[in-house]
Amino acid sequence: MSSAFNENGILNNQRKRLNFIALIFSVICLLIIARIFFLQIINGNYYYYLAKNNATRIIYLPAPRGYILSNTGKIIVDNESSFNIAVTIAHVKSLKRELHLIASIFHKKYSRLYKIVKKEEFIPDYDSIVLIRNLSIKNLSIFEVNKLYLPGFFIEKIPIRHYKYGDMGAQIFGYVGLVSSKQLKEKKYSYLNPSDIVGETGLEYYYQKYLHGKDGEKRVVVNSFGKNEGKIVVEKPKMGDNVYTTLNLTLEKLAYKLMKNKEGAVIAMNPNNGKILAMISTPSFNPVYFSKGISTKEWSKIINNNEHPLQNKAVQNSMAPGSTFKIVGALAGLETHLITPNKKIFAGPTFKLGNAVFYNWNPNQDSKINLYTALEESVDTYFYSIAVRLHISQIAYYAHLLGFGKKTGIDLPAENPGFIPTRKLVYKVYHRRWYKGSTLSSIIGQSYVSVTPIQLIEAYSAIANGGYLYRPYIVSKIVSSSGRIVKQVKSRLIRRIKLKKSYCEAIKKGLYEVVNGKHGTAANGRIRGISFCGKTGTAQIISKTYSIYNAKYIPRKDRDNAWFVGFAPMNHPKIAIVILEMHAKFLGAHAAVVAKKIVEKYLEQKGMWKPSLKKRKKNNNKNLPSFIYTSF
Amino acid sequence: MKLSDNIKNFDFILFFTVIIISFLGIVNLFGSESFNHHELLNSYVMKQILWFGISYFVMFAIISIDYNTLIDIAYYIYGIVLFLIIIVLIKGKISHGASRWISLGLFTIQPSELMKIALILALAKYFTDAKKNYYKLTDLMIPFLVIIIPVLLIAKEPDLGTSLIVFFVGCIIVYLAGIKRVSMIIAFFFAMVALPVIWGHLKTYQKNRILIFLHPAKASLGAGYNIIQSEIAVGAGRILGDGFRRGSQSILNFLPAKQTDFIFSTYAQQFGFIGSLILIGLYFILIIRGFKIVYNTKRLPAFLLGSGALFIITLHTVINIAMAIGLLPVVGVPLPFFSYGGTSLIVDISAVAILLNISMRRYKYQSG
Repeated sequence: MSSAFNENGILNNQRKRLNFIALIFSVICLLIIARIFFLQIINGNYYYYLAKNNATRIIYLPAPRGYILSNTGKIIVDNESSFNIAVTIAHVKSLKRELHLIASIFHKKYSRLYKIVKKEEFIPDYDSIVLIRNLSIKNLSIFEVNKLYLPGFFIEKIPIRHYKYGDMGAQIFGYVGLVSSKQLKEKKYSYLNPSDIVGETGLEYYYQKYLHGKDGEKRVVVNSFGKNEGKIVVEKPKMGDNVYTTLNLTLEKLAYKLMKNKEGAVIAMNPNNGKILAMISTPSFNPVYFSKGISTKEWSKIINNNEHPLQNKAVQNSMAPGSTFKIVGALAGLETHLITPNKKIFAGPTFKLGNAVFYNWNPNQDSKINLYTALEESVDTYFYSIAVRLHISQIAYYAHLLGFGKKTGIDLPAENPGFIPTRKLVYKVYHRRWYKGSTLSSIIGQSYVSVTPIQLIEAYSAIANGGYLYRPYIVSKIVSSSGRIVKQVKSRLIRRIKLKKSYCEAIKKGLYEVVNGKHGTAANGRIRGISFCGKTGTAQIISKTYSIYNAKYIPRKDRDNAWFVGFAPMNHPKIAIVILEMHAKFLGAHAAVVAKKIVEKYLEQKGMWKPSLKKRKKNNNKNLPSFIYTSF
Repeated sequence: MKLSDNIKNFDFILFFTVIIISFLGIVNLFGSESFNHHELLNSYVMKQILWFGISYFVMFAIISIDYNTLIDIAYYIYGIVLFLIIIVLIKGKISHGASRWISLGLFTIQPSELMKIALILALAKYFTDAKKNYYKLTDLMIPFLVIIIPVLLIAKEPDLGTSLIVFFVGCIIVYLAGIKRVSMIIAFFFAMVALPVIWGHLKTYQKNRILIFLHPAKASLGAGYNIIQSEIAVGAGRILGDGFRRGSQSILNFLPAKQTDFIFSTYAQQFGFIGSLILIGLYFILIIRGFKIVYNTKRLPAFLLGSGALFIITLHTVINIAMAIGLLPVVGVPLPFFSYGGTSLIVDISAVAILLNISMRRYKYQSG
């Protein structure tokens, strides 16, 4: 075999060099052995002593979490202090006696306190053990009085999360909890210490990395050589970054007030950039329970509530959109030239497809109507006659264009992508064949169609602003505690939907008629002097039509979901809004009233609208006795 | 060449030395942590035993392939590993964190470690093909790039320890291949000039480690903590050691990175000076056997590849131990067959496999 290198002379040179390197390493090797000899034999006893008395303890100092603020910088979530009683075993004189004293003054069972201490038996003596959490101010002073008799016990002050507005928007801001051992193992939480709190849901979860800050460390050296010399090295904790949301507190408060006793969600958004102005989900819960340590009773109350208070219904819950979905049908019809805005089509009380009969919600419908009227009066049969000539994939195409069936990408966790059916998808997910009838139900937002409130508002905003589909977002910037801007969020255009301008205007006009037309389904949402556009929707939970929808006679869980989506003003929209009332007592028309109040408030803030003279007067005279008022 | 010849020429001393060190490594890892029998299944020990299984499989795979074949495909291996490193970097950039790992479902691998093997293969191939006695600086442009690109990429991860090992191993191979003395002086001069630039690019904690090493007196508890605790652990072992699973420094968590960077300190406290000498002796046997294999080889590719493999192991051993006893600044370098970590184990085992491979086929190419 021929080898590339057989000339021994050359290899000899190389061997010399190898020898040279080997020599260097031999010297290093000797150095290592000498060093180990020095450490273990000559100074061994010294180091042995150090190791046995190694009293360096690391105590973590939790960093205060960053705040969550409104668009104008008003604090929504911050921290307050909570006081715990803790004990350092090494400083205690007689553990038994002192524990008995603690037990008697705070009315705790001695055996329980003793168990807590014994459970932590394996922690080094210089670590502190928390005995009693969340002391009241009264108990705090009781402790201070008895402090002399309790060496080793001390008050530990720790920051806990404070939610200024309690229940309002709790699902959006989220809650925090003690980090679990499972979370500690995750790579993304590698910066956490076992005693840290961590965002579990909502913004607290989504922006955990920023909100958390950097924990400090206290290293306590208790002994040095011979002398008992206390030495402390402190690395100060660094507060987390402050998260500025886009939320308008006035709207947020109003929305929560209006929806407090209902089940549902409200979102208000700036249709020109995707900034969320308000978002609430009801019923809500008070997140402070979680930071103070939730009691089993409270927890089971929240978890067993079938109205799901923990769920953010604005983004995590997808359901049938009902008639609000008709803009997709209208768009599909216009773009495929099946209809024109003014062409009148006959729409009767029923629509027959083979043997199946599809009903209009209003049995009195029986005339030729154009698109405007179809939207205004939400005529189902008009849309059936479009759907019957469309393939479901065409409807799905336009639904996807408007952002349905896909996560909007809002900066909140666990967003639901919703569901826009196609033949293939329905087969894949539900293992069912597609029937033409389902195409008909799909166009009026029933059957498999399922959307989230955030998707609806995104789509309506795109119609409102002429085809710009923006990603909704709720955090505008993140600023460090020292004032440095860590992250600046800009609005992001997902896509420019190429809509024919006339089609867009036609749909907008139809939506205008819904609120302002003579027979509009949301006529009670009218705002004086403002071109408020919108669409009501009623999504059936069970497939049964009631001749008269009277909530009294229907079990709560079977009641329909009521929707209203809208924007105002028509031409240069400033606000888009979606109201979802689940299992509502009153239907879409009532949701429109809620929307109206919020829109009015916003436009009033912007100086575009003023409450009527009568109303203003009423407000001015609020404090006067009623007889004066009546004498005007 | 028959299988029986291969077995006859197999270096059993080297092989069994590695087996003994591996066994000690497992024992030591078991003694580094306090856990009850419930946690055993999930502990570092079990995972490491699994990794040993995998790495011995890799070892026999490498032994069974002729090392010339490995050298032939060296550039492809190098290219793939470089590609993986770039992927890791991009992934790290996206997730805004230091990322050295690629996840393979059940396991994660660290491509920067694999670069050590890929680099020695690539350099061995380059110098075998170049066939020169001495190289000028201009001849060394390609090897320079081959070394410096992964070095910079790995340093960016940031993984200074691995980056340095790759650099040193590369330099040693270039030196062994033959570099003109003048060229060497010029290269050294350039390296000196580059030093301040490199210093500027180091992370704060890396600078701190070096500063602490240079001025131990200034070492506060904060930054010099690691090295102080490590020295205490080693010293506390005294002559006979505190005993198996009685190393307080590691059991009580005073020792940082006790299963990886400071594994030697964990061992030294448990088994004392005698134990340390035995372990260092074992490494010595291992390295001497490797040295003998490289020294006796008669072909340049085997010589270069073998010395590369040898110096991966040697550098790992020397730097890791020297760091644990305060002779070198703290850089993350594993102790071969001892430190916990799958990819580094595979790399060290592969290096041994390359040495065994060369020694086994030493007669095959003699009669050409």
